[in-house]
Amino acid sequence: MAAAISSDKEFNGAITTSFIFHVVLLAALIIGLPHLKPPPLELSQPIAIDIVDVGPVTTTQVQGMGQVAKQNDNKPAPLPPPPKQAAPEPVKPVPAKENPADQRKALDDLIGTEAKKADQNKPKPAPKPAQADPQQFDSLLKNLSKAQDQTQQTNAPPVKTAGPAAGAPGIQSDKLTISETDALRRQIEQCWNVPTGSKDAGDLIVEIHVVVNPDRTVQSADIMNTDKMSDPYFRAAAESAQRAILNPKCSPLNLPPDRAADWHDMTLRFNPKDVL
Amino acid sequence: MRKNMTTSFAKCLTLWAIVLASSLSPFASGVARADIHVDITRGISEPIPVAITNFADSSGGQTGPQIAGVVTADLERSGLFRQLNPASFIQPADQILAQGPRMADWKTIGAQALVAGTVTPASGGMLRVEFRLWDVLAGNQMAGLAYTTTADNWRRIAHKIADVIYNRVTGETGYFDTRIVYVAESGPATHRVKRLAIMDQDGANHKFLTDGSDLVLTPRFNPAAQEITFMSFRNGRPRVYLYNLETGQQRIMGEFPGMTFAPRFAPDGRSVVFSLIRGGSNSDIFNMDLASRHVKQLTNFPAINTGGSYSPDGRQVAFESDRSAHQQIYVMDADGVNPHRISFGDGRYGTPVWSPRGDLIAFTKILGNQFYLGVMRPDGSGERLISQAWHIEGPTWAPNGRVLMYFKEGADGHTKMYSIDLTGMNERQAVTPLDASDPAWSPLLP
Repeated sequence: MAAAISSDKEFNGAITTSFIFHVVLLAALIIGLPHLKPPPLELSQPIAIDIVDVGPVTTTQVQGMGQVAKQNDNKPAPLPPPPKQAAPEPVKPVPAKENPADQRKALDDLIGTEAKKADQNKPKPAPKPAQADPQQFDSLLKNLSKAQDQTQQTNAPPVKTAGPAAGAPGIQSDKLTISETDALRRQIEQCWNVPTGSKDAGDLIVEIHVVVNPDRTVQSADIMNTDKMSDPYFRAAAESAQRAILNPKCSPLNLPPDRAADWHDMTLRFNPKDVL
Repeated sequence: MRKNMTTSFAKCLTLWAIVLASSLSPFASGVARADIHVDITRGISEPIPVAITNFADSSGGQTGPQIAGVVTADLERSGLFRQLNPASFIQPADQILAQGPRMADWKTIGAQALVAGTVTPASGGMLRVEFRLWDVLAGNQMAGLAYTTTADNWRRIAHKIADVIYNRVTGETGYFDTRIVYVAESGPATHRVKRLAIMDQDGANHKFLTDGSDLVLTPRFNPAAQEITFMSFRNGRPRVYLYNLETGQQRIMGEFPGMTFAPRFAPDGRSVVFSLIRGGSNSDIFNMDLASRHVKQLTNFPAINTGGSYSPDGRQVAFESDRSAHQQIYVMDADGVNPHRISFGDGRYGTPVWSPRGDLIAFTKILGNQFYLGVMRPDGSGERLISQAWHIEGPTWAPNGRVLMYFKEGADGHTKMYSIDLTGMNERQAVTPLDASDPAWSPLLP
């Protein structure tokens, strides 16, 4: 009898212990598991900018735009502060002087030299867009009536650079870098041959799943909406988008090298709405 | 008892450990994964760089290189392809089909597509022509076909190969295995000689169909057969004729109390829409069934109604009318019901031609002192002007509805034919022995 009473007590104690343990475990799962998942990557919104002439103060380094590109690629998404962050760097090559006024003058002289160099470099990319029809930048479909309207305008639109040179890791402009997303977009735009004359070309929206190697080369580019591949126009558009990603002129992809793991997987959506 | 409790507790713990591990695993593997989407909404419009190699020929002739030459010319003429310099090719042509393409070699020179082929003798003195098309960047074969034909038919084979490549890469139906009928012009303006002529779309195999003794105008091809309709002033009477290109037979379409002109076949080739003036200067549009000879009047409005052109589904007709004081483009149902105006821009509109693709209507427009060639959607929206000249007339669509041919007349009276892509790109002059006007594009040859 005593042994039975004792085993009952032990049983109740075990049940209680088990119950408490289960409650604690459930609480830990509910509260703790969500914190194991990292917060979603927040991409900065592309910042629309106007490319204008080089201003009196630039963020470029003395050595030139190539190094500036590398510098900017290492920076996080652009925010207004960068000019302040970059400002000290141009000062480094200037020999230290005791007089702050002399230092400022030396900096101004340096900047003026760089501005001249930038102006000399500018005509190289400029003729390329200048040769295209003005309306062609907005649409790839020719329209003589629009061309006539544009020639009558007194203010010609500013010449827009074509974007990063194919394969180059950086930027043509010595302005502040736009977000990594926009940089990649501008690179791919140079390689995407849009099927402008296809029937209902504006409806040919293609999604490509891209896997990127750590060295920023493309491991694979797979067409996602395969259910439409029986339509010859869609298939042609999909393969055109695929060729854009696989094009050696767009390799390696314009991505920050130290964050390649974040860009290992991506989906590129090709929609020709802006050029039709 | 204690032992049983301990065992149960251990089992429970193990079970929870398994549950916990399996639920955590997705997170463990997904810590480094980012779900990134990038929209690409702009691009370029350039010819696709392609490497077309000489077809290896073991038949003892030059047919292989000749076929490759015609294929290259066709694709380049479309404006959508650009042949790379053969001097830059790394892999020898005769190795490509035998050993497979070395994609790295073709990528290096910038090729995005590769074409290789062979010509080998077949039984009965025939030739077997085989070709393959590869996507260099994706590294896979896109097309591969073989034809058996007589040696003198190599041009047709070349055009068919070009059509296959064009279709596979662009999604458009090809148009290279086609012919152009047009009016060849010569002589001074006061004694102009006009003859019907026919040639391959690349200008080859040119020959005259009439001798120039009668004035001929506006030939139009039957979309379903090797037959044309045209207007002739034979015996001083302007009437519509039918001409069977295979038999050479000509016949008057019908006898009408007045002048018949501007004929055009319906999409099924069984009837012809035409214009008729019955006294005065007004004209109306009629349709005649070629088998039953039944004639139906489609327009009935006191104006100049002319230039009927069927939609490819045969349900609607575009036409030109000055019922609203100036020439404008209208669309009506195939039975003449519901005519409604679709052109509303500045200037005067005329000569509507419905694209075989159905999505556009080509037209000519007079604005200021210039003529324009343009396209618009069947509802009148999306008007684009793609060419201009002192005088432009006579647009005709290639059977795939992608390319237009038309003629321009200069102030000196000379007329030349041109082709242009519907995007407005790639305007090219068609090579003809004499002045040329009023082109008509055939359907794909059978």
